Amino acid sequence: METGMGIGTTDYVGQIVEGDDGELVLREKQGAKLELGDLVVVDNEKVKYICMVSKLTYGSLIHPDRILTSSGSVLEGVNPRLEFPDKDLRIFRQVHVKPLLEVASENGKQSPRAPRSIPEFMSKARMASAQDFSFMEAPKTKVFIGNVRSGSRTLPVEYSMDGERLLSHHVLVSAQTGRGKSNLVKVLLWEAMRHGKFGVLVMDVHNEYYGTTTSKGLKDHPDAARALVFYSRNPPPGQQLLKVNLKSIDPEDLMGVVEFTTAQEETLEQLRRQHGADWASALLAVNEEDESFKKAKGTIRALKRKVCNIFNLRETAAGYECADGVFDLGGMGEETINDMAQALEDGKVVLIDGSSISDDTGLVIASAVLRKLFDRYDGYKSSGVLKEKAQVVVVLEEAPRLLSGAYGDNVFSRIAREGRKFRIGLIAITQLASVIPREILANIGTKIIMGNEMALERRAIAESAAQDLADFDRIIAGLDVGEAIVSSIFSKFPVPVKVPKFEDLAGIGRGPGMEEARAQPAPRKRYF
Amino acid sequence: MKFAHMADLHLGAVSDPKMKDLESSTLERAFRICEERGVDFVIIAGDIFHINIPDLAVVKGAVEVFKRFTDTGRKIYVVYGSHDFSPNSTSIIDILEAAGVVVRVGKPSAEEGKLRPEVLTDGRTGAKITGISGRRSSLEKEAFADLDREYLKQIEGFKIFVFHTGLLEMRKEGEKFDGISQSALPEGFDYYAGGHIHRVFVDRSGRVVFPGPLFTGWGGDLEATVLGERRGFYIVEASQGVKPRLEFVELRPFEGVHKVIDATGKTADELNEELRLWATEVDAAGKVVLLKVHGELSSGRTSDIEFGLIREILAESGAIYLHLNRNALRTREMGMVTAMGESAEEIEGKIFKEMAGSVKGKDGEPVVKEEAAVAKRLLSALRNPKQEGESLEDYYGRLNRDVRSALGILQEGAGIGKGASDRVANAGSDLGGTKAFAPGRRPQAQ
Repeated sequence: METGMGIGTTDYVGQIVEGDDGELVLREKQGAKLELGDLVVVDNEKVKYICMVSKLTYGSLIHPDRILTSSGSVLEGVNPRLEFPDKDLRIFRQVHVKPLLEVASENGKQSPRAPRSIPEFMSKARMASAQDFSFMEAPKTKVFIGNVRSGSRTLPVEYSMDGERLLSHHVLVSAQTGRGKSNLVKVLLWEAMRHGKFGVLVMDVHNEYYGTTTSKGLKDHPDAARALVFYSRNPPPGQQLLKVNLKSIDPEDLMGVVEFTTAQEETLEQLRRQHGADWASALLAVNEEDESFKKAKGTIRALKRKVCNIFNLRETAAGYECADGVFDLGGMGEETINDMAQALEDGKVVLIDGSSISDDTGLVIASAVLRKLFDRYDGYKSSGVLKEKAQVVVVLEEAPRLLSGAYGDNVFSRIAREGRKFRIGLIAITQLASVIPREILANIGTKIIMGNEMALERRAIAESAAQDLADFDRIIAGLDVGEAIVSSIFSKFPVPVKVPKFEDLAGIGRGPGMEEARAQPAPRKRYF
Repeated sequence: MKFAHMADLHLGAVSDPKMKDLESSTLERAFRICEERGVDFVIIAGDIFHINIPDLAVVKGAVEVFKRFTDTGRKIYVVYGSHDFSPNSTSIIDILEAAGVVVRVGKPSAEEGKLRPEVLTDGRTGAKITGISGRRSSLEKEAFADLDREYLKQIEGFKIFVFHTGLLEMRKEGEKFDGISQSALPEGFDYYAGGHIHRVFVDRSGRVVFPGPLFTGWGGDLEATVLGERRGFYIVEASQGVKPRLEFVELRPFEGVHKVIDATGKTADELNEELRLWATEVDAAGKVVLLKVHGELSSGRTSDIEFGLIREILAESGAIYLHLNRNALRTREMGMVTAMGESAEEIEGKIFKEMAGSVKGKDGEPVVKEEAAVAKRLLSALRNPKQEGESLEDYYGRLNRDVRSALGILQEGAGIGKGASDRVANAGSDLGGTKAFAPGRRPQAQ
């Protein structure tokens, strides 16, 4: 197949027969069998147009009456072998394509840009090949997302984004259940670990990212010892026990995650003012019959109940204790939140097994860590050293509830609004993008769109995308498992990609030195 | 069965004769209590001695105490601690073991890449005892990672695991030490005898126990003791499958007096007067006195403060020992550098930047260019300790190379960078004849 600008013996798949700057219509070459999402290229002199198939229709040069009559003859057995003469010339398929990119060629240098013109009328189109994407440059801190895809065909072209840009400007992963979003998150985390300069906080609600003895996970990363910290109630040997002292949790960490009445919020604030870090113990110790609390008896009772629920506390003869042992009212776990914040600052992936704690509990822990991090990064910003610190990002599953601010402002909506100034970003994962406020959606630099059958959701995401995805509705609806469209403010066009299976990625290993690292014999150890 | 669990004796850490006496009498008292209470054996979870080859007088005193106990047919089980362990030379622990005074538990063997520490059975009780010794800079973490957990799980009986490593989960807010997560401890033991952390700690299960030190004669530990931190050891009554019954035996090695004086805004004379008055009036007889003086004098120098006199007054009034902390005492006449930061590296960087240019050669020019960066590299090179298995010669050679590289001086014979070399050599003479580091000269230990 020829891939240059000239038109020679190329296998053409169609020819432009009508259209405008928003959509071109090709007459499809017989047998080309283009599919929705296929990438085709129209070569003109010194410029080529990369287009995506967005709609397929029939075309014919035969009068509709004759077509219907012929169909009747065949179906009713009047003339079962009836065929039109010159069928291949007179009956065809029309392929509607959306111009994605215009690539100009000057002195051997290719410059891509959003289409500003349309190809010459009657230009021929061919299938896109790997060489058509040679203008794609490997970014400095490469985060591999997947291979460029033409319909269901994966091209040998890696699509990577610059980690710094990607993670600082927030990412939205929109997908319905079962379309491969967990796999995508694992791929992103694997890539982040390769650099060791991105701190990623992940509350893994299904405990599916770390890996087990029988399945691959982030633990299998060649840099796992340096770049991964795993916290769990039941950690594997050597990983961290999830034990958080209640003194590390501030009432602020609960706000916006759990619903409180104004009176409850005021009481929490009062407790914090009076007792500082010991606010929770002080609340639990309040005697509701005490004269000073009599008026607020109901509020105190409700607060105690909520706090006990969030932290899974139960009252025993010896006082309150956490039923699952995650939170401690004594002397354990005072540094856990600091450790997590430090690990993020050190560019590590901090993975918290959220499978055995409630979603709200996980969010409260994440809030505490991010509050700490904001404090630190605020300090670095003031002293002018922020840019030397690791870019941090938090992976937030089922994001809409928090980002919509249903229970008021919280640290996650703060990150969405102003995290970029503090080098703290968000990877929001949801199947309900429509619930996220438009101003927050607009603030998200990169949208990774996976299959979604809900038209409302497709519309919401398309409307907020960096590129015009108005004609992509059917393509998005038809995306298969692992297929995605990446629309980013850092990309000149919406890139169709196929995200690799994590197991394949983990099996191969990516990045310089990884194969060599595997080949090294283990050093002989000396124990004492 | 009944056993005692001690840790972090740090024998030989103190140099003051009276404190030495206190140290040895505390040890003697602890073992006497063990005998009186009829313990079957004693566990010492590391750092019996403050260094791997301590003063022989200290060793003699300890051996006498230990021997008296073991002569009754009972054993003392120990692991190395981070202080009394040496990867390259014999530790006093090895000598005591060879003499039959103590038994070191957890001697390692490797099976299929996994660490299998030796499991000993106590003859009197049948208790199975094993563990992992401590090493400097918490290097024993690797041993925990490689532990053959299944092998240890299968061992039956009342099992005790002895270790000298801090648990990350037990750190107080702001407390920084390296260690392991509690998850790194092998499962299924009836008792985990910990050491290394200088305070009493018992986890929620009541099986993971740190008794803290018996006696503390220096620094922050001394201050904590004076301020009331409990010091002693545990006597544990236990049987298989039953939660051990713990009894903390508080030794109260000494009574203390704690005094903090803020010198801010005072003249040297005023501070002297205040100190004299306090030293005369305080009831220090038979007590350890901890005096902390901080703040910025309005006039006079720190050397004008008559700490010698205060020491004499207190000694006359019968004080056992004065621990004086005047590190934070400043005068306006000293150019103080204050740096705040989240990490040691950050603070160091800021101080280097602040101090850059303060040392100049004869020509009035800075001794090296980019002083802050050079200082950072130099500190990093000097921080790098001798590696395991590295000979002294190799170590000094490496250090020499690293230091030269940090200073931008090439090895002798190399032409490039000679200018820098000359400048540094000249600076050496400017700074009172400080010589460049050379092979064979041992750097001063920290």
